[in-house]
Amino acid sequence: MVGDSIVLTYPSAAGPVHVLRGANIHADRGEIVLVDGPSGSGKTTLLSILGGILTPASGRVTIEGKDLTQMLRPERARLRLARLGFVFQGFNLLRALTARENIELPLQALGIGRAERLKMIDALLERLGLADKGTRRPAQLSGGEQQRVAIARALAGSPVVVLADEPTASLDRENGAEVMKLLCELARERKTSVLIASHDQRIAPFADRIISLVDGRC
Amino acid sequence: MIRLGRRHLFEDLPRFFASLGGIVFAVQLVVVQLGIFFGFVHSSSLLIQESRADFWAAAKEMQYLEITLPVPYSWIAKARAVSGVAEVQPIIIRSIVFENTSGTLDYGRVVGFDPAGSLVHLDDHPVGDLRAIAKPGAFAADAGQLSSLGVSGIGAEGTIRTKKARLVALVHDTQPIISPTFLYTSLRNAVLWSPAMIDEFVRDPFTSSFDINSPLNFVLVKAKPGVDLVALRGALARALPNSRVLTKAEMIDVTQRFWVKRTNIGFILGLCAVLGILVGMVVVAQILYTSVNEHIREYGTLKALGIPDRLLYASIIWQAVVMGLIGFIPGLLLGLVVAGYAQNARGIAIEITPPITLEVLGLSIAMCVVAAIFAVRRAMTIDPMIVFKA
Repeated sequence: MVGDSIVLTYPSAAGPVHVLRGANIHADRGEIVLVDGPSGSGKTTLLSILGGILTPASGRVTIEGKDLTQMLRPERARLRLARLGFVFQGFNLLRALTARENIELPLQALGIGRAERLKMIDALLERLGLADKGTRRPAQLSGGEQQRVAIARALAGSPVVVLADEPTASLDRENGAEVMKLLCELARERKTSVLIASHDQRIAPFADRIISLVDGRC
Repeated sequence: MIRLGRRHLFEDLPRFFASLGGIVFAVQLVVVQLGIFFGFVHSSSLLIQESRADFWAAAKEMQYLEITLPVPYSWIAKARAVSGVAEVQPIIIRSIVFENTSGTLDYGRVVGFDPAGSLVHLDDHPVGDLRAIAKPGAFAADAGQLSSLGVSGIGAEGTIRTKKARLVALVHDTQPIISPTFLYTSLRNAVLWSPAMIDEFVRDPFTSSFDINSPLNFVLVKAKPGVDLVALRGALARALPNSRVLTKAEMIDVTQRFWVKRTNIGFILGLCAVLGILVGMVVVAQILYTSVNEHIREYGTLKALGIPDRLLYASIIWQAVVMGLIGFIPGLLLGLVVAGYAQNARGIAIEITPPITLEVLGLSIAMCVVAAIFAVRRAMTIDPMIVFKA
C-alpha cells in the first residue's frame, strides 16, 4: 500500500482547514507500520483515505498497484471488502450478532461457501483464544475479547492490509498489549501489512516502522 | 445479512408488536374496504347471476338492472317466435313504498316474475313457501332486509299503495347492498303495487292487473341446447325493435359497471382503502427508520468494511417484507371477523375471497416495502466515517 502526496482540506467558517498537506506513506507486504502523532494531527483521516472511505483533494493511494482514488464508490467498497481489513477503537461489532456471526459477515459477503467459512472462523477463534466464546454476543464479551473478535473479522477475508485506528485506546494496558501481540503475530503469519494510527506509545515495540504525522505531513 | 435483519427486527419485541399493530390495522382496513367494494359490486347483480337465462332483452336505453324504460308485452310473443328459443319470461322491476303495520315506510323495488317459470332463480333453500308469492298480495324478501322493512318475519303484513302485502318467504344472498329492498312477487302483484305508468293510469290505476297491455322491463330468454348463441342473439335483436339484447355475462357487467363508474361508491371505498394503506405505511416507515437510526453505527461499520450496499438494503427490505407477512395474517383474521359481523348483523356481504386475500397480501407487502424506502434512503446517507468516532 502506498499513499502518495495526500492532501485533504476541510472548508470551515474560519477558512479552509488543511488536515493533510502532502502525506506520504507506504507499507510493504507483512510490514507493521505505526502512524504516530498527537490527537487531531489527522491520523484517522489519513487511515480513512488509505481505506478508500474518504477521498483526498489530491494525491494517490495504491493497493497492489490499483489506484483507489480513481475508483468509483462501489468499486472502492469491493476493494475494501476483498483486500482490506479494519480494526476500530470502539470495536464496532454488530451487537445483534454473535462473535462467530460477526466474523462471518465479510466472508459471507465475499461469497465464500458455508463449510469453508465455518472452518476459517473456527481457526481464527482458536488462534485468538476465543474458541469457547463464538456463540456469545458482544455485550457478553470483555473489551479485550471484543477487540480480538474485531481482529478476527478484519483478518477473516485474508486482506493484504489491515488498517487499525487506535486499537488499544478502549483497553487497559494488559488487554491492549495482548490484542497488539495477537494482531501483529497473525499479520506476520499471513504476510498482511498493518497500518496502525495511534498515539499510544505502548504500541511502538510491536511496529516494524514508525511514521510521525506532523502538521499534515509524514 | 438476512440474519442481521431478523435480529434487528426481533431484538425489541415491544417495538415489533407496535409496528405489527399498525400493519394489522392497515391490512384489516384494506381487507374490509376491498371486501365491501367487491361485495357491493357482486351484490348489485345477484338477480342476474342467479338467473337461468342466456339473454336479457331490455329497452335500448337500459342503464342497468334498476334503471330502464318499459318494453311492450308483445316482446314475449316475438321472442318466443324466434327460432332456437326454448323459454321466455318477463320481469318487471318498479319502485314501491312499503308501509308496515306500525306505519314505518321503506323504499323498495318490486321484482315481478312468473314464480312457475324457471328463468328467475332466487334460492334453493328459502324459508317459507317461495311458490306462494303467486298468491295475491304475497311477496318474498331477502332475510337480511327484515329490519329495513320493519317486520319480524314470515307472515308479517304491510301495505303497498293501499293494497295488502304479506311476506310469505325469505330468501338468502339476493339483495344488492345499496339498492332499496327487493320484494319478489308475481307479475300480477308487481303491476298492482307499482306506481302507475301513464298507460295504466289511463286505464285504472287501482284495479289494473297484469295483462297484454302491461309494460315489462326485461325479457329473459333461454336458448335451446346446442343453438348458436351469437346467431340467436342477432335474431332476437332483429325481432325486438329498439332493444338491447345482452348475454347474462354482459348484463352482469353493465350492472356492475354502472355502480363502479357512475356512482362515487367505488371511489369512496377505494379512498378508505388508500387511507388504510397510508396509515400502515407511516407506521412501518417510522419503525424501520427508527431501527436504522438506532443501528446507524452498525450500518456505517458494514459500509466501511465494504459490505455491498445492496445487502444492507436487502436486510431492511427483508424486515419490511416479514413485517408485512406477519401483520397480514392477524389483519386478515380481523377483517374476516368484521365481515362475519356485518353479514350476521346487517346482511351486508363483505366479500373476502381467495383472490382478494392474495391481492391484499401483495398490497400489504408492497406497502411495507414502499415504507422501507425511507429507511433505505437513511442507510444510503450514512457516512462510513462515523465508525472512526469512538
